[in-house]
Amino acid sequence: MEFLMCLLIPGAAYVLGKAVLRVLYGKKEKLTRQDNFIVGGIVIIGLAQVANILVAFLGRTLSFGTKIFLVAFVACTVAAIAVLFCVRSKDKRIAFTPGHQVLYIIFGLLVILQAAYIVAGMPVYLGGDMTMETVQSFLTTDAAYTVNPMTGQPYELGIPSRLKLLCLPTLYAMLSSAFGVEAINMVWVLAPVFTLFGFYLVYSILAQVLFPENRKRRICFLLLVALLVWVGDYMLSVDGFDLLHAGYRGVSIRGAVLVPYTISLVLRKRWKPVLLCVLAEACIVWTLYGMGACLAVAVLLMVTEKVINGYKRRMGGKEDAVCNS
Amino acid sequence: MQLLKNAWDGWLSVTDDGKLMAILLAIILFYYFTKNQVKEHLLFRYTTVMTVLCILPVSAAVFMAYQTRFYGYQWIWTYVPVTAFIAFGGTVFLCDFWEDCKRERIQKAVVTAGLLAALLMCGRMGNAKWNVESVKQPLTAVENLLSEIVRDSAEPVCLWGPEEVVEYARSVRGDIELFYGRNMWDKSLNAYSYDTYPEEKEVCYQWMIYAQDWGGLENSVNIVGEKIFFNGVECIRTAVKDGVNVICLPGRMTEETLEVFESELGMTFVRYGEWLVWIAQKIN
Repeated sequence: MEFLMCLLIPGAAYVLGKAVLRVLYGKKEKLTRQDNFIVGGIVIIGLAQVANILVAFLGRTLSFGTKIFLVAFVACTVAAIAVLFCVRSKDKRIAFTPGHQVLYIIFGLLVILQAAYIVAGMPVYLGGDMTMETVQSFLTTDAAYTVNPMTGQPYELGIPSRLKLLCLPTLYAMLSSAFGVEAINMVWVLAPVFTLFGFYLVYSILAQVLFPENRKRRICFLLLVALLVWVGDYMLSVDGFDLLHAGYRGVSIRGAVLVPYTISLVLRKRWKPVLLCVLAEACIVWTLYGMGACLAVAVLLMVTEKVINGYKRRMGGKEDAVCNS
Repeated sequence: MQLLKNAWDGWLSVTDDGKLMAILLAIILFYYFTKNQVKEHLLFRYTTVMTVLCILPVSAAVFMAYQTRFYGYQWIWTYVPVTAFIAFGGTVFLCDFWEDCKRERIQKAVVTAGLLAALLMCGRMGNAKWNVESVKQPLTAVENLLSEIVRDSAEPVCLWGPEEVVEYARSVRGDIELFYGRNMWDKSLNAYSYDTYPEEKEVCYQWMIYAQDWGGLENSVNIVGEKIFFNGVECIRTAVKDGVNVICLPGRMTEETLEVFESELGMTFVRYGEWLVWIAQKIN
């Protein structure tokens, strides 16, 4: 079942993401295949949020939430296939041109090594996080936040509503229950591996944005990123550590996937999916009334560009394009 | 003022634990003072501005307020694309260096190898400084015991034991209740709930630490200028009164202490792996 889930979730994410981008940008979308996966992942977070509201705020059982999530997941995937069928476009087939194979092989090995490190060692940083206990308590009680995840005993005073809104524990509990995966494997193995692959998908988009004409530079960039993941394995909030030891946390998904993806979107002047990133962040991380890092990064990048272009105009120079391409 | 202080302390902590910030600053300075295309890229400008803003305590304090006080200083570095920019700067430097026809191939290889080695030495290569636990090595004895008790018990199991036992029990089994949870020693977890622990439980926790270290019956400890006295017998009475029906003690408890428990409480602890376990009659 774990294998089925590993095939089904990315496959559905690809279709969902492609359909959403087709709706947002029509046939002439110029986004990459990796964008489909990331946007699809964000759509799945959105579906989980709907189920989370039913379970955590409206008092429905987790089993009911899981059924609603699965029905919505299948319905959206079918609808996405229908959209893609109706609004067909000729995909530009990017042929794999040979060259720099050695670099690609080294990069692939580094990524597999990191995934194996997570799967084999389960080296988890538990400080300040109770996702595992929360998922276990959801599965045991078939409800959300009826008992204190730390002790398993009923709450005396309860928890802040803003925390209840975060949907990741509910998503993990639902996937664990729907696919019969042990919670410990769902939270500490599969979720971090998904985050790791999301991270490399986003960085491969960034590589294309930063080096649009040069494949050699793109693979060098990805190689350095893979090395930096090992190098950055020293403290929480650094990508390497977050990915290798805390990939299931909302802050890790935000730092490793959503924020770099937002940067890639702004560099490409694709604004609509930025809103999806902002919403996804609000669903998985405690933000200031929904205003989190993605919004701040998008606004600050835009302001930096405007200020510098304004300065150049005053100095009589040529304006910069956002992206070098 | 507190936010400002946190911002300054946070910067010291971020630079103490690893060297990525040093690499980031070095690359920014390198491209700032050399003539190249990177300097013209929006990513360079954004990273430079954000790095300066995250280092300056006043702007760092503003970012900390924006991200809510729930998070520490290190999280404001989420706004800075540290990994992306280091990889970007490094790629441009290495590729330009390799495309420079004036240099010998061996010279290029040596410089590249040297830079990569320097980069790798800036990290800890899978040996994180922060405490990481390999949860793949379960406390097998405890796991087997808990499975047996839960299977045979008609009522919920409420467990009390040393940190690693209760932490592990609650992580792998949602059907086990605890006398106190991981938030007893990981105080940051208390932000997730309005509930707090009464002082008696704090005392029991202190005794359990003492029992684990010394195996003794009673002692006292200074906590925030206040002397707390704890006694194993009293702590066990408190726990049982609170509904605990399984107690797991460290194996190093002295014979004298165990005899006191037997004579005063009528409790017999049975050795189970490296632990001493008592299970209440009604669920036994």
